[in-house]
This record gives sequence, C-alpha cells and structure tokens, in this order.
Amino acid sequence: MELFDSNTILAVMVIPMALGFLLISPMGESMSASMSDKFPSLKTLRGRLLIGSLLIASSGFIVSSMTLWISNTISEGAGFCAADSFFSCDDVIGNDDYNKVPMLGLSWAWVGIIIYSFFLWVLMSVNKEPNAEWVRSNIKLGFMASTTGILAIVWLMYAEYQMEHLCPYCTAAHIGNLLLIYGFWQMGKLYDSGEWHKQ
Amino acid sequence: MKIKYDDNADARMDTALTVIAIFIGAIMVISLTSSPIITGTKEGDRAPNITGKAYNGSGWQDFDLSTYYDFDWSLGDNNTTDSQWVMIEFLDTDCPYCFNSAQEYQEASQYFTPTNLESPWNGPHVNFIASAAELTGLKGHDSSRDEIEAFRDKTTGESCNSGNVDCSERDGGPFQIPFIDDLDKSHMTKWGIGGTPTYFLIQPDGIIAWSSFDNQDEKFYDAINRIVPQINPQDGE
Repeated sequence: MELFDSNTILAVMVIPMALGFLLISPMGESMSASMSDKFPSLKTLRGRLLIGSLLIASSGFIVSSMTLWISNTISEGAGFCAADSFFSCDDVIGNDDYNKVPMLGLSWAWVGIIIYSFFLWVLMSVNKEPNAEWVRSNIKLGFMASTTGILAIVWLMYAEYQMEHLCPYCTAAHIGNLLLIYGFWQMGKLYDSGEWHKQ
Repeated sequence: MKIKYDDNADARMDTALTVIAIFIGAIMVISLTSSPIITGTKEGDRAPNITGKAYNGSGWQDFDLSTYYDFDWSLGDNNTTDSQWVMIEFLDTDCPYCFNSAQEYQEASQYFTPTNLESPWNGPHVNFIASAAELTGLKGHDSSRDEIEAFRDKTTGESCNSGNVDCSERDGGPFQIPFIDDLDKSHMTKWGIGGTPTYFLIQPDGIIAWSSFDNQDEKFYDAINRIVPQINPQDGE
C-alpha cells in the first residue's frame, strides 16, 4: 500500500468523523472524561453533541470537497482511485449517467459541499450562541436537512448498485449525514427536555 | 409596521461569513489543484464514453471506448505502440452518403496503422471504430444487427442504402474494425449528433482533437495527416 494512496487519505479524513461519532454516542461521556479538564465543554451532553456533530460535519465537508476534486481530476484524464475491484470512486464519480442530480444537472459532489456547509453553519452558530431563541429552529433545520439527505443516499446507493461499484468517499459522506441525523435528533431531544439550557 | 429586532442575529451572520470563507477557500484549493475538462463533443472536450455491444466479425462483444485511452499520454509522446489514436464514425447503414463513403473509411482504417507494411504511414496506430445507428423516421431506414454485420462484412441478404441496394454491393472491401450497435441512437444522442456520417478524431488521452462537425471542409483522413504526429524517419525508433 502506498503511503498516500486514496484509501490512506480517506482514512485520515474520517478520523474526525469517528471521533465525533464517539462523542455523540452513549460512550461519549466516559470517553471524554479524561479530556474534559482540557476541554471543559465536553463535560456536558450539550457540549459533546455540538462538538461531536461539528467534527462529523467538518469531516463530511472535507470528504465532499475531495469528491469534487476527484471529479475534476478524472476529467483531466488522471485516475485517483481507479481499481478493478468493487471499490472504485473513479468509476462512480466519473460515470456521467449517475454523477449528477437528476433533472438539475448539478454534480452530486457540489450538493455534498453545499449541504455540509449548511450543517457547519447550523452547528457553528448554535455552538456560538447555545442559549439564543433561534437554537431550536436551527436544530430543526439541521434535522430536516439531514433527514432529507436519506433520499439522496438511497438514490446514490441505487446508482452504485447499477454501476456495480462502490465509492468509499461517497459512502463516508453518506455515513456522515446519517450520523448527523442522530446528532440533531439527540440535540432536539435534549432541548425539548429542558436540559439544554441547564447545561 | 412592526420592526423585529433580533439581538442574536449577529451570531448567525458571523458564522455564515465564516462558513462562506471556508467554502470559498475549499473551492479555491480545488480550482488551483485541478483543472476540469468538460465532457462533450467539441474539440478539446473529453469524449463521452461509449459502452455496449460491438460486432468484430466473429460476434457481438462487450465494448468500452475508454479502454482505448492512455490517460498518461501527452502530445509530445508519439510512440507508435503506446499512443493509439481513435477515429470514430457515426453512421447509418441506410444513409446513402455513409454507404457511398464506406470505401474511403475502410481503406483509411488499413492505411493508418504502422503494422501494415504496405502502408507508408509512419505515425502511431489509429483505431478506427464505427457506431451504426438507425435513423428512424426516414424512408427505408430500418436497420438491424444483421444489416450492420452485412454492411461490415460485405455479405449478401440485407438491404442497405435506404433499403435499395444489397449491402454486399457497396464499394471497398470488408471492414476489419468494430461496429458498435447504436440502433436505439443512444450514443448519437449522448454525443449530440444530428446527422450521419459524423467523424471524430480522439487523442490517446480521450480528448477530441478534431470533428467533422467543426471542420466541414476537411476530410477525416486529411485531419489525421495534419494532426496526428508522425515519426520523423531520420529520428528512427
């Protein structure tokens, strides 16, 4: 395996996502206990949910940006992660029949970057003013946007099934979206329980 | 009118500016480290891929145009074994002009190959390909795979040229090149081609170097002679 092959790069990019998942999961409290002295916001569930979701959204944003870069690089004629195996992002991202949003013609890579920018805005603004009046509506917006993402994920999984190839970068972006659904759902639950402001 | 005043609006606005900055930064990095080439059929575009079935004389086999490409190729590399060019013709076996010009395409397909010792061509190998469509709606234009086979192999029993002439009566010899099945015109539609014959010369890296659509006064074989780099005999190999 090359030091900087596509799989290694992806593995580095999803480290924040994995950390974020651990923070928003039930294991988050015990996992962050050792770090909470250095990072006090991790002491509360609200802080862990926000930081964890931000890590996931940041990772998703980088992975989505990478899919656009791959798309451009394939267009130049180079292969970034071409493989004859089932796992091949070049074959998926480079497939003109499936790499654009039906009817809109917009590349799925662009959609990924835009939606993850939106998630970043939602989470960063809530993190900045966690007790503001609009926090509940921002959490709702994030939850609705990430839930709508399921439609895109199902369609893209269908496309991958048709192409008989799986794109690891796209899959990482999809997993990030699914984790954010859980993150926003947990935040909404915490807010509605009244515990949000106490923290 | 009641004016709403929101003390917290600046937090969202500040964040929006930060995210926009991150977004623009990411796009700038992508733009600076890659330069996309549009997939299309104009000169300089990346040729849309063609996959499907092609008849090669012995049967209908899987075909994938991208397998002809060498993405590491550059214009300075005219190695006869590594850098193979592609000439593709979109035709209809019932199109009179395609029928009448079949001989020159067939002869050119044998001329532009360095392995043909009888040919004076000293450039890289040019892979000739034909994509046969059925131009529905025109009188006598009802084609089939049998007709494509007869047109390619010059065999009897099928009517070409608007259904008026037996396919075996066309000028020139049998083709030795693959004929792609495009009877449903899906490839023609994908390439945005309105009529036949239309020719494209594709570089070894999959970029369209010439098209008859953009160069109506130039014959396809003149274009090959003009564009494909030939090896200077003094340089040797």
